[in-house]
Amino acid sequence: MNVHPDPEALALAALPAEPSDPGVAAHLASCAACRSHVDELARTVALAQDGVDGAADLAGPPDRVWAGIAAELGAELQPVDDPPPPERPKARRRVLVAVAAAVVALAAGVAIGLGVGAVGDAPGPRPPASTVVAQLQPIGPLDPAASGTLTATEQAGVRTMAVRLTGVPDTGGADYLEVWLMNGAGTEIVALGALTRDDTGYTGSFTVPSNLPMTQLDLVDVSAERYDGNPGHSGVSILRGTLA
Amino acid sequence: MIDPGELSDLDAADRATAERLAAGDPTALRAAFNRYGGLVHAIALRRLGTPQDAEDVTQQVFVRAWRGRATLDLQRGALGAWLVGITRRQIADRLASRRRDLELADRVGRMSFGSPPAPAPDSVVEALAVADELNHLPDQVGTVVRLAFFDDLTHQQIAALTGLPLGTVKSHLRRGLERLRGQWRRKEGAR
Repeated sequence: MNVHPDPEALALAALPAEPSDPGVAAHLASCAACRSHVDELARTVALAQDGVDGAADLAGPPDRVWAGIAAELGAELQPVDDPPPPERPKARRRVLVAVAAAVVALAAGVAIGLGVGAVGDAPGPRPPASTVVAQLQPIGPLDPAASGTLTATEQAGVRTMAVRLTGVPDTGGADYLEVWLMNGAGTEIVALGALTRDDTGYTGSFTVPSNLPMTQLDLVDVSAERYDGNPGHSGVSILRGTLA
Repeated sequence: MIDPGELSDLDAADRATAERLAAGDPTALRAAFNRYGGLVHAIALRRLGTPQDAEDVTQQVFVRAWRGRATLDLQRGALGAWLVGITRRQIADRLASRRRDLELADRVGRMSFGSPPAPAPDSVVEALAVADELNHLPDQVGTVVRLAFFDDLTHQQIAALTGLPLGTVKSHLRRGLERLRGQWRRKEGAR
């Protein structure tokens, strides 16, 4: 048994333009294993040549396909095994102007979610010594039964805000809900973080930086967000309340 | 001097996405869709012939991928192969359902409204998987492979044209070719 050619020589033997190497050719004539390998590589070249005709189709499905996936999975598309911590510190930034089409798409998704069964109004556990500082009311097409509270706790100079939402229908058009503080004009906005879904609704607890201008940021806003790589506000608010 | 990491980085990225998906991370589904949605959709389009069915199947593949993420066996198959496996089954279901519709139409004595588009042979799936992977090879490897496959250049001509050392060209050709081979060679093994 003569020694097998090196893998690069075998690869060359499968390529269309390479001149045949007499040594490799002689080996292939007598070695079924190498011959089979080269045949597979040659078939790979042929497949690539066939497949390249369909390269235009590989550009990807239209965006509505992902929208369909997100809508069908709805609330299923939540982190289940190891949800990320609710804190998600972010820099201050401006509200993005929502594209009308995105609003329509998300509103449609929320509307679909309405039929999927709202969660009951079970009150969630609240830490003692905290005060309710805002009641959140649904805005937009959300079920009027949905509601939320924002409680604030001050401990050792650290202010924590806890948000609990109940009666929120499955947000079929959204991937997750996010809490924001903003001013009335919507020109200043700070992200507090994403909410975690649990048996009775959504919940999240966030540490609020002490240097935030809270007198300006007196609105609490909950938005429906997508995992679309855009960290800004989606423009789709589903609940709002005013800080006391 | 040769890129020791680039091609294995592709595997590592796939594996990381697969692990996050198996762990229930929704962003991993989006990442899988971004990487393989084009391939899944192209296969469905080619096999089923109608854009609407192709989009429906693509949606179902990723919905099932999410719901069936527990079946994603990281030891046995790559993420792409697993998704292509789901795609094949979705397409088979869709074709079977078309056949049933036609048979039903026959039995009740109605004329069917023309035949559905003839499905393309299965090698189309393999060809698309190879072409898709070729699009995702590291730039330099992809360029070298394309020159050999489509422009009928020898490795010496490619080296002269690109200015790359001969050894690099040969290495790119071998590694690129073997990675592309993996796209059709191991598909059947993946559940």
